[in-house]
Amino acid sequence: MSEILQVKNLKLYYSTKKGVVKAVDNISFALNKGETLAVVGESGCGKSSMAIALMRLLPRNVNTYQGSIIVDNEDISKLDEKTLRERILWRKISMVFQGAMNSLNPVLKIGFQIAEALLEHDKRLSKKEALAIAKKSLELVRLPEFIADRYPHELSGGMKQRVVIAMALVLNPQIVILDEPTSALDVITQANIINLLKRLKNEKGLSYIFITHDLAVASELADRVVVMYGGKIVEYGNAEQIYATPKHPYTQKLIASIPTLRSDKTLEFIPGAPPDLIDPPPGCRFHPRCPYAMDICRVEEPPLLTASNGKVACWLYKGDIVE
Amino acid sequence: MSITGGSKDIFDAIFRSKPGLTGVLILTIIIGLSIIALVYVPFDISSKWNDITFWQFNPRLAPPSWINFFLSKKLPETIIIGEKDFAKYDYYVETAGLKHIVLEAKLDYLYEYYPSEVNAILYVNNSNGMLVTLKWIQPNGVEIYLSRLVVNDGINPIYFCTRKDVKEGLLNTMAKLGTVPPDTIKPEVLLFSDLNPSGGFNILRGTYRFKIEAETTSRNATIDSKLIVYGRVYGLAGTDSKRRDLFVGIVWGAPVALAFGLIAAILTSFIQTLLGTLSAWYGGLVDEIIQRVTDIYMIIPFLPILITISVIYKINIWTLLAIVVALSIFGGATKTARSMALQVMNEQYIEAAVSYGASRKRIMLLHILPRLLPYTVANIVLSVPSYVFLEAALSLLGLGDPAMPTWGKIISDAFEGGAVVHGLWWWVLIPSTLIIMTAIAFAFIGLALDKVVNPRLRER
Amino acid sequence: MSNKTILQVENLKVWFPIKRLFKTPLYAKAVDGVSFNLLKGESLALVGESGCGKTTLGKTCLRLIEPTFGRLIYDGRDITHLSGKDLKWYRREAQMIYQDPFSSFNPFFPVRRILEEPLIVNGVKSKEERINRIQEALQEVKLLPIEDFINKFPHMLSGGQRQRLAIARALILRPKFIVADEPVSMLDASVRVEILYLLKELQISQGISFLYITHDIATVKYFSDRMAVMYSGKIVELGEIRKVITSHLHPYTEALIEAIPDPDPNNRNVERKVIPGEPQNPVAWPPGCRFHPRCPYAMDICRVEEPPMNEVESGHQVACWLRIKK
Repeated sequence: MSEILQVKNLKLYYSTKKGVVKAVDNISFALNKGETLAVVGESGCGKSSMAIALMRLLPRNVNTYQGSIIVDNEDISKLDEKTLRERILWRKISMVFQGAMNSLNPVLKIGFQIAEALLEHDKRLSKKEALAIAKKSLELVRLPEFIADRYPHELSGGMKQRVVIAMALVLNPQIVILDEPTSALDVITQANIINLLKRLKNEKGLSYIFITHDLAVASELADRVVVMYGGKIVEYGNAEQIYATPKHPYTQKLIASIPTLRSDKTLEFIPGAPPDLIDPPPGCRFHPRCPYAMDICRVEEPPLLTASNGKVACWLYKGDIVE
Repeated sequence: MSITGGSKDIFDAIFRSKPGLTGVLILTIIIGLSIIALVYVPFDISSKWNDITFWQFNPRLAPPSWINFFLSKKLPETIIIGEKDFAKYDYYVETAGLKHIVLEAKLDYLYEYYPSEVNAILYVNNSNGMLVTLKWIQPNGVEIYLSRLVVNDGINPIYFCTRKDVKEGLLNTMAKLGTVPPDTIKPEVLLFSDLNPSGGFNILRGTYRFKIEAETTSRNATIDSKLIVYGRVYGLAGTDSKRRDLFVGIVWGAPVALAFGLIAAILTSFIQTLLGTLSAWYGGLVDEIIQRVTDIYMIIPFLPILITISVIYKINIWTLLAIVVALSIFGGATKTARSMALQVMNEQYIEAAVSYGASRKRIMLLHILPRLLPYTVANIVLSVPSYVFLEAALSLLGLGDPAMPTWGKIISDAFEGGAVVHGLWWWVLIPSTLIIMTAIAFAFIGLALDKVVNPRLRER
Repeated sequence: MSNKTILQVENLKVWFPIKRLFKTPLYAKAVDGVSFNLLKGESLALVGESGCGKTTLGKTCLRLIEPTFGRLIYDGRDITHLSGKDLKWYRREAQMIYQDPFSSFNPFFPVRRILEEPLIVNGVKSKEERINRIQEALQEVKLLPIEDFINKFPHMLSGGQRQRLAIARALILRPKFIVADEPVSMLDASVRVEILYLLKELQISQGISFLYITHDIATVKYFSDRMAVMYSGKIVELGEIRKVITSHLHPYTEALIEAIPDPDPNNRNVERKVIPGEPQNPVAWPPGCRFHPRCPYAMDICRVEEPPMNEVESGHQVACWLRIKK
């Protein structure tokens, strides 16, 4: 499979009153065509910052923004703002924002809101054509055409989420970043949306970056999984490997903490709190909460080691590096 | 925490922003003025402000003396020669039964402008009338015979500028010297001019002498004198038409303006916030009544009512304050506070307090009102200038307290005294500047506070 | 009624009027005829989607919302219309833990004051006793060492710590009954279990009865003894947890369980069987069984007549025409 997106040494730091927040700290990964990469981690681990870094939708208080983002052999991080907007964003890589369904404009009809985005990108389109495309995109997300003439308040949560997905897909991107696309929805609605995402992926050969805090939901889509902790990638591998034989103690504990419905297990939890991204602990950022912490963990930061079927940043696996 | 932050946020907002700091700086200066008012002016201002004799040693309508700073030819300051500066000797002639007293004062006059007025005051005691001769000796030795008059015991002011005999004395002197007198005789000019025919009435700089020769039959009689050569500049803020030192008035205006503005703002803001919160918390009929009364209050014509009241009753400034507060206990903040209180009431900790049995009163005082405090503080700060302006405006309309020198009152006097027509800028500009500065100070602080109160402006 | 029951809910209805100009008001029937018993020391889970009325039901049980019809009997005493002193007594007996650990504390109060308030309000006069009880409560929820926390403000605590504080506040009046409204749904996965274990421990050690309101059946299994599934203001299935999960009787319960994924990488290869649609509008519930528009097994009778609650096995009740033998 070919790599459609490569991210190398991505950094995104924010300046705040209290200091520099290292939200995304030197992360690298790749996304294969037609694959879903799930990015999981607890709140404040930098997953959403990574998404906005990819889309270069940076807030005002950015301190450092570095690294390369290669889409189709082109480093989009080097492009200027205008070219990026015209050629890359929404056309090649688009995003469904967290809570986007609640940020639809309440006074505009759904169809018009989708068409608006289209017209913004393609000046040659007439309004009529744009509306026609908008209606088609509603069909794509299994919404009836008449929804185009409705206002957001007339739709249920699930329908609004479908509209938001339709908006992200309207310019036929290859890569879609999904930031917590189901976390505000009820379980049944969530399952419906996930089913839709699965179908869209197969129909259109989309590649997803699926950002979620919920490992159970992540398993619904993930081909590969990136586990983030304290702004860094701690483990990266195939879904089978991550869920069945997690290597990093954090991943192990995280998976052990998820309640399961169909099987019985004793749940575990991770004592302590996630690290402060302004002043992270020295060495491995997980060491204060890690049951296996060794002396080296407290001093030196573990590199992302290549282990069987994936990568892990943990000194426990220092011996069995497979290059 | 969607609406407001804590008191720490307020201080942060004020002291960490440029407008906030500027506002605080200006306000500190004005508060400094208020402190000066209490130290520098230790007398009861309301009884003295309208007392003409209190201000008699000041020149009339003099600009502030710091304008000399910008002038190449300095304007004269007032020179007062006190009792002790007079050289004095007396002798008693037994044969005639007459006591002679001679007083002489020296005056160095080095300015290039004439003084505005010259007066002398004679303090006479234990005489049964005294014959006094006043002489003026110019630096070049020309002696001008000013006046010969009989004075009685007590204080006898002698206004050189308006006395006929002084004018005659000047004319006689000029006649003696062979000088043609000018068209108008201005004693304060001629007394300080070169009266020689070649002199051309130019100012004569040097040491003048003022001589008083007194004769009386009483052996115990005494005479003292004071000579006042009124300058053309005075003090830090000049004087008005009643010779009053405007700096005193302006300095006194500061605490009055601040007190009026702050008290009115604090009372109205607190009452309005409280009523708004009550309205939200009780809801139903209470809410309906408070909101409707507010609607009515908001359309009541405020100024006409105030004018009517102050025309019918003679009010002092504190009564005026009470009326202003009474007329604004319902207002915009009632509505805002209501909606904010409704938002706070929706937060879970309020319901949590209900669920552990806290009473309504307790929830309101402990959990809701403190959350509205930052808003109230900002509201106070922002409404202070409007009350300062209101007081000034009412004084200007002649509805203020006549005894108290407020900034508005001073401006009002200035207009009545024709300050604008005659170019008496200091009389109008200095108090106006202070009013504007006060407003700007509070507006700046309010601007800084806006970040705390308005969540949309908050950077997080 | 057995003396094992702590709270008996009888045909409870909570209708909210929606005022309309010049028209008779409509009612949003948030809770529309619910009956169940909560046993002493038991944890009963109330499961359902948002808008099904589970939070309203929980708050009504605490008398934070006035019931429209029906009765609430707490420990043999009718509390439906308590007021004044009697209501204050009930406020000590029953407590609530909220979902949002961010807005459930007065932001101006430190931990000590947050915990002291309920004691002051309920007339614990001695300062010493109050301090003792605060320390005891912090000990119980393991906010240790106490000195580190007692003077902190809520915004200085992490989500998990705040939720512990919320539990401490609920415990400080030594209640016998606690309504926990989604106490872990806003927490991170790693902390969630810790809080659930803490609640479980308190349930067992202090014999507190819990009404655990949640949308997440997966956590229910680890905390509750019985489970009631709510749909559109009604309880549709009620029974022992394991029975409901493994041999559920109502199609809605089935749909709910089917919708929840377990962490399993094979999930991505299959599509989940999901029922279409979304919950109905509480102003106009559909006639007959409220679930029939979404039910894959709907029959004619379901569209006309509402199914009664029917005990299929001992302790396992369901309201579904499929389970009623005619």
